[in-house]
Parts: sequence; structure tokens; C-alpha cells
Amino acid sequence: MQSAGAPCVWGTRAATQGRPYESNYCYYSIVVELRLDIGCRALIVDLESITIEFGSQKALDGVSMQFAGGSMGLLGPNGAGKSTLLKTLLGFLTPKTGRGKVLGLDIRSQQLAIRQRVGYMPENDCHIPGMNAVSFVAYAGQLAGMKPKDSLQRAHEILHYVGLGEARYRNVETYSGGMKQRIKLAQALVHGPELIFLDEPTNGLDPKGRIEMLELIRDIWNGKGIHVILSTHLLPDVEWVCRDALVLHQGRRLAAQKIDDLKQSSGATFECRIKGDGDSFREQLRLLGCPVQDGEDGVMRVLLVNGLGSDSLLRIARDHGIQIRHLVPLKQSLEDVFLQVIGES
Amino acid sequence: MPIYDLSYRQWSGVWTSHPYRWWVITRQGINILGRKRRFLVLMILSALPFLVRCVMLYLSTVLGRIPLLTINAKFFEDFLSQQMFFVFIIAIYAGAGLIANDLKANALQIYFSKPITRRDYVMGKLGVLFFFLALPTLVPGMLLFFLAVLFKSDASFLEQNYWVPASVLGYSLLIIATYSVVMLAVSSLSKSSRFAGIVFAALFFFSRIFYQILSVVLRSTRVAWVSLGNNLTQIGDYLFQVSPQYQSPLWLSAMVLGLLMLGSVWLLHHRVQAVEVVK
Repeated sequence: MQSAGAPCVWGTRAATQGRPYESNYCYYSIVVELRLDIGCRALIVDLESITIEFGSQKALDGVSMQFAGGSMGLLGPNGAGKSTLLKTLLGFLTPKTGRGKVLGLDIRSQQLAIRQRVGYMPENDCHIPGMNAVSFVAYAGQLAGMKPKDSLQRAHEILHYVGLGEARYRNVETYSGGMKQRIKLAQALVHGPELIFLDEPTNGLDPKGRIEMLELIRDIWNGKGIHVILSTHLLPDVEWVCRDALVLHQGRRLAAQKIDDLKQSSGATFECRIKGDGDSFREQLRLLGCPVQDGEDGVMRVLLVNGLGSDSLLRIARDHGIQIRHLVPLKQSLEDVFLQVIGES
Repeated sequence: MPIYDLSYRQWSGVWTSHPYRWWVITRQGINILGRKRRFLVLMILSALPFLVRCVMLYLSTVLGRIPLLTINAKFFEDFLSQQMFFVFIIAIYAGAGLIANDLKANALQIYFSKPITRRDYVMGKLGVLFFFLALPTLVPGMLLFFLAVLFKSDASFLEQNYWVPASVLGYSLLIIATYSVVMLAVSSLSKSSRFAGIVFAALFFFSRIFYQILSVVLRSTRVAWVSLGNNLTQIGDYLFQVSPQYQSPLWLSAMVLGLLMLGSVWLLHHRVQAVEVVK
């Protein structure tokens, strides 16, 4: 399958493509071409109707997702199936129905090849007992197939990158919560994955630590070219770091879009203050399917849906003999959209 | 200005071959245990019976000072049976925490998020126990035979006992495999290494006590198969071609040990999972 809706990118290729360069000094021209990602790049993750059952409980119910690359946030309340989805992608859980590919590899039959090319930062506190940070990260690299010398060198680099350079000879068991989150990230990155799954990476972090962790994640996909799938129930984290979002609820997919599109598609929110019979005005809006929320000082928040705009609001007010004294469009936050999507389901 | 780029760089080195991935786990386990002073003391202590046997061998063969000591197959079987005490202690010390500590630290997710299978993991952990249990059994057993051949200058000893190394190898491997697999299975039962150690010890002690009660009540050693240690001794007697100590049939001892090993492997298969699924 091919990616859809992915952005255009500028690429370069040598005009001599197809035959070997004769020497390092041979002259060749560079052709700059505009390549549309649509139809050119394979999907990073492609799932179709995945169902995971634990006994009679459906943890994932026919979930489909397509991830073309970049960064995606898995959103959902606790128990929505976010971690289960990540574990399915890693091959820890075998789907009852459906099919899926990660980096072009089948999740049922090529789990080892997938794990060779992805990194996973688990949600809960985990480490390998009796090791300092360097040994731990180097060991993780060796488990992935790196040679001892390479993995040791790489461990030092990665620990510096995640901000544990000074504490790298300390036993991991003595680390604080924030440091443990970083070391989990380090072990996920040590073998140079193309895709990384982060399960609640900002859990238990103080505000400063949280910002640093999010900056790090942003750098991972934005600066280092590693695709990121971030699972969290903290919506601002996803809004800050990710470009796409997949909303899960009770094991079902509710929405999967670019975050900006998700915000736009859910309608426009206005803050307004009126003079006149507010009850009939509210009733009319509710009949049109637009939720109204009363705030302080007579200010109300109206979410206009089904293509309605501010002109519709003004027309309704006029029809009901109401004066609108104050009308300000509000920027939708991901939290508003999320609550709306969950509420609709 | 930094003299070295500390930022992230993609790695594009050479991967090691997957069939040897279990060795990474074994090597790491050996390193961690090898750094523990108390464990090293235990390993040194376990070498003392070997040194005593070497001296006995020397006195008996070269100097002829211990005329009643016969260097034959039983000499080597006795040595290995004697070493079972150390094997038991080492198995608990080295093995009780091998999986239990990983369960406690949620380390299985780390292992299985890498290209590691359950078989690699279990083989890696078994490798640690095999290594440390071979040191007081297989290695000194073979060395002892080698020394006996050296000290006995005539070829008749080798002609009569040429099959003993195979028996030493077989009996050592049986002891190592039984203790390793059972200890590892027990270790996978709990997040507490202490609990695992107690259960393992109880398994050996209680089966022994149960046998002793039964043997007194029935006035027979036909029920020796209920004790794990007795089963090993029975098979050891067969391998070294000495008269069996117990009246229980050999096949029953072999079957009990076989079933115990199969049960342990089944337990390992079900307990060692990347995800703990509560249904």
C-alpha cells in the first residue's frame, strides 16, 4: 500500500543514476526533481482490521491504521488499547484477525526482523538488575546484535544524547524517575532503529523533565529522521510532539488524521455574549447539533458543527431577536477535539 | 566548542549472527556473578574436594601411601556425588534470581523488544547455570581422570577404564541439566529470588524426607524414585557400572527425571513471556 496525503518532498538524484561512477572526480550533473510522496514511499505501519482478544475481552476491535512516517500520537483514555496496539506491532501479541505490516514486514511472521529495526520504550519502570547505565545500554545493543565494542561505544554516545552522560557509571537501580525514563529511551535508541515506539514517555516526570523529554522526542523524529509512535493519555504531549494522531477508545479506532485536520474537521468554537432571551437561542443551537457551554459573566462557548459558521450564528440570533455583544472565534485544542470524539462515540 | 559530536547519529555497523544471540545473555550473567565476592568464595570452596582427591590420587598412585584406596570408576562417581552438595548451593546462589530478578525489574520487555526469542532467553540463562555447575563437576571430573592416567604410568589403567570419561561426561551433564532446568523453572515462578531458592531447596529436601519415611514404613528402597537426588544416584550407578544403591528400577528413575525436566520446560515456556496477559 502507498502513503496517502503525505507531503511533497524535494529530492536529488544523480543524472548518471543506473551506472557506476567511473571515478571520484568524474563530472556528473545533479537533477533536482519534485517527488510526490504519494505513490512513492511504502507505509511505515499498515494495519488492517486487527483484533486482539484477552479471553472474552476485546482489547483491540478491528483497528486499522496507516502511518506514512514522521510522528504519530496514540490517544485514548486508560484501557483504550494504546499499549496493546504497540505490543501487537512488536509481535508480542498475535492478532486473532486482521493483518499488518511494520516497515514492510509482517507482524505475524517477521517479528524478529521488525524488532531488529524498531526501538521500544516500555511504559512501566524496567531495567536489567545489577548494571550501571553504560553496561545496561551496551547490553541492550548486544541483544539487538551489535558487537561488544561497538555497543559500548554507542552506549556512551546515546547516554550523552539523552542527557545521562554524567551519570552513566551509576547503577540504574539508584536512578530517579526522570533518569529511568531517559535510560529507557537510551536502550530503545542504541541499535539505531528506524522507528521507535514510546509508551507514556513523560510518566512521572516533573514539568522541566517533561519538557526536556518532549524536546528530545521532537529532535528524534524531526532532526534525526527516526519515525516515532507515541502512546500517551496526555494530550498536550501529543499536540506538542506529533503531526498525526490516532484516537482509540475501548479498543476501537475513533479517528486517525493529521492533528491540524482533526481540529478543523471537528468544527469551530466561538465565545459569545448575548443580550435577550438566551434560552430559545440555546435551544435552537442544540437542535442544530451545536453544543453550548455556559461560562462565567454570561459568556457562552458554542461549538458550530455540520458546516455552520459565524454567519449562521448571527442569523439565529437575529431570528430570535437577540443581540450578540461579543463574538470571538476560539482556537480548538486537541483536548476539545478529543473530548468531542470520545463523547460522540 | 565541543571537540566531539555528542549528538545522535544513525548506526550502520555489522550485526552479529542471530543463532549466537543467547551467548550475549550467558556472557552477561557470568560477568555479573563473577564480580560477586561471596560467589567466588563459594566457587573456590567447591574446588577443595577436587584438590583433596588430587592429593589422594598422588599419594595412592605415585607414592603408594594409601594402599586401600582403589582408583576405579567408583572413585570418580564418588567425587561427582560428593560435589552435588556444591552443585545444590551454587544452583541456588546463581540460579534463584536468574529469571526472578528479571521479572521483578520488568526486564523481560527489554529482552523481547530486541530480536531475542524465548528460546534464546532461556538458553542464555541456562548457559549461565551450565557454566557455573560444570566448574565443580565436569571440569574437575575430567581433570581427575587425566591426572589418574598421568600418575598411573602403566597402560593397564587406561585399558580398563577407557570408558570412564564418557561416564563422567554423562553423569555431570545429567546433574547439571537437572539442577539447571529445575532451578530456572522455579526461578520463573516468582519475582522473589529468595522464594525461588526456598522452593528449590524444599523440592530436594522434602522429596528426600518423603523417601526416608516411605523406606522406613515399607522397609524397602524400592521407593527411592520419589527422591530427586536418589534418581540421580541410580543413574550414576548405572553409568559408572557399579551395583545400584537402591532397589527402585532404573527406568523409573530415568522417567521421573525426564518428566521433571519436561515439566520444567513447560513451565518456562508459559512463564517467560514478553507480555503478562491476565485473562
